[in-house]
Amino acid sequence: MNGTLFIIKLVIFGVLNLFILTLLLYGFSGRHRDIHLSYAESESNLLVIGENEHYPVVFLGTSRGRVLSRDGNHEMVERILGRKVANLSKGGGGGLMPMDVHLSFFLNQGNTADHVVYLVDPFIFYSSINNEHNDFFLRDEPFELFIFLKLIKERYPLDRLSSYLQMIKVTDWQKISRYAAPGLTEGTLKKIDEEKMEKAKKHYLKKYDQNNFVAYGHVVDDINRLVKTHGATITYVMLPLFMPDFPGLPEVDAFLRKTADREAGVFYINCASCMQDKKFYYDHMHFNKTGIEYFLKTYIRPIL
Amino acid sequence: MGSTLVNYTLGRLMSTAQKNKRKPYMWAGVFLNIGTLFLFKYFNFFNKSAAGVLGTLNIHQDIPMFELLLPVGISFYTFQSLGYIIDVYNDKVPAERKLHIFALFTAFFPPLLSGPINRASDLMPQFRQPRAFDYQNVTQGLRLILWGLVKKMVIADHLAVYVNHVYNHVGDYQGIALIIATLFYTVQIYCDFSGYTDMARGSAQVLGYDLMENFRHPYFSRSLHEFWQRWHISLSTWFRDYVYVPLGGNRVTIWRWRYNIFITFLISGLWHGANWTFVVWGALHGFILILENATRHFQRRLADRLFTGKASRLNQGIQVVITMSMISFAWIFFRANSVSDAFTIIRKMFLIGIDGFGLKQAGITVVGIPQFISLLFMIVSLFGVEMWERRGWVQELVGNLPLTVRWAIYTVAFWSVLISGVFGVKQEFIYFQF
Repeated sequence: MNGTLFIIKLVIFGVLNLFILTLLLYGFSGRHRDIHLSYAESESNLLVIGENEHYPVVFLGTSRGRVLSRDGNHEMVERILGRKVANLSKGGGGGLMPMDVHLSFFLNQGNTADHVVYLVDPFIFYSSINNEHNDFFLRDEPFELFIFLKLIKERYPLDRLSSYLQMIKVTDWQKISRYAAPGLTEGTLKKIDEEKMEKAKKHYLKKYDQNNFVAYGHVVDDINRLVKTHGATITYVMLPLFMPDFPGLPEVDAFLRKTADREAGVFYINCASCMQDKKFYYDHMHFNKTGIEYFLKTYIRPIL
Repeated sequence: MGSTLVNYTLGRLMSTAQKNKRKPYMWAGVFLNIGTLFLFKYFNFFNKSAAGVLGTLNIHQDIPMFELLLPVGISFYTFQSLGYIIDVYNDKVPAERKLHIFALFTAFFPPLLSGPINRASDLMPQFRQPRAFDYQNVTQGLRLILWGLVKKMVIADHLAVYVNHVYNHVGDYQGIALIIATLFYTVQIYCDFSGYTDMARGSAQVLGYDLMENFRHPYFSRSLHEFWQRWHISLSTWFRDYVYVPLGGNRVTIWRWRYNIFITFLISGLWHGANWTFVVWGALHGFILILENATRHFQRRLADRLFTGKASRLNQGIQVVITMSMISFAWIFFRANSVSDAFTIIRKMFLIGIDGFGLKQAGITVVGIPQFISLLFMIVSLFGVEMWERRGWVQELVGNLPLTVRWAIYTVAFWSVLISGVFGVKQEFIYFQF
């Protein structure tokens, strides 16, 4: 009897809270849509990119892709490519699963694209911290029911769901938005420091599983399907690396090459050993303005 | 598993041996348990400290460090097993015959990571009894879990943002910011640790088991002596029974008694972690306790002279504030990244006003004004609940409220955890490291 009473009360309490959750989700979803910030003001995709727009080029990637829009570079990128560009890359959050979420929402908003360019780092293929355990890819994004349901569908951990749900509390988006300090990409890397590179490698390899370098390879299939369903093509570009022995690089390279050979509308360029001159970078990983210009003119413009 | 098998076997051997032949088994248990703890937790610390001392004497001896992963909760289950061995030796509990019961005693999941450190005499008999669903136990257990979650995820983890920032950038702050950070840490560690304890006790209660109480409103203590009867009760009583009393307790000369207190707290400090900060924290508590005892008569005479009649309540309030100030001061060593950092904090925290009282100087910009105000509100609410709890057990008070009010409280608590709780791997329980 005790047990039955407890279960009945638990079910009622559960239903009550489910009702509250539903109210919260519907009440707070999309409340940001009248806010429009520029790339210079925010790194939030939802606040910068609107709906029902056509973007000939869409970039996906980590902070190494985000620099294309930081520090006033976005206009320069559009000028070089001669096209309107949407940059969905997220600093610290550009893994395959996060990019799948951002691209899905971008397309679901009625936006369209001709070319999707994924600026690839090897670690996004094998590190959970860049995928389901990533803490950054929704840190500055308003609450949207579509994204929340996508997180549930993709089986993101409960703490990711909760931290995204907590975005309903945010009111001052300009304050919470991340943006790089002006002049960030104007500097030039003075010397290649092996110690710093090792430190960077350690940072990027947190929580990686070296036994499975393409653990998140299946997300590539999801992204490809999504892109092709919306009538666009996708090119994976392995970004230049000062570290030719970066763990997983050969495995990821082979995987992407095989995927591109197999699927129509999917292309792959390996630039890992390109641009080995430090004049193209402001630190050991990120392009400076010179690097962005050279990279776009040499490797991206020809494929569009 | 090794620890379980060894302690079980030693217990069995003691039970079959004659009384006068048990001692070697007891000592074997003590050495094996302490040895394991030493190897995993303290070897590198003592090794490094010894190398440092030898280095100052120009003797350079390279002793290899062990690259061992510290098993989570080792300090807790080792002390629990050690208590069992000593209790069996002293005939306080019979040696457990069934291996699975003993294994459950060692590895019972709720208190495994951060206690409470349970006694064999309390827990083992419960494991032998069959359990059935009990509505009261389950609802009370769930209430405890929910309250523990609020304390940990809503209060402690939000306070941690401010505390971590200030304590990790000691050079950038002085005066008011360091005082606020220290007071916040005083509340943070309480909510963090007692929050875990509530969740552990609640989980066990849902399953029908009672774990010992670990906290009893410690910050309302009027002396350090009283504080240690209310803070981490399972550890302080463990040290009382297995260290302090065997050393002679208070049935010795006054100087020996003081020595016993000091040594007990020194070991207690070391138990918390292989770092000089914890040793200093333990020593400080030992020293203050001795001082408190030595001046007890003087304090009483002074209070009698200054506070009479209704003023005695004021006296109680002053005692609580003084005790809490001493405890907060000692927490500086517990939280600081190094002993030198702790001394820097102490030196700089009294430089109030030199760099002004602005929001930036107070570190409030770290979290923002609304968040800072909400932190203060949370602290006031916490102490409000604690005061309410002192009147009677909140569990019973809440349990007797009308259903609608009760459910409203549960819903608010549940959603405050979900909406305001800090999620992620960054905020582990402080006591997990011990």
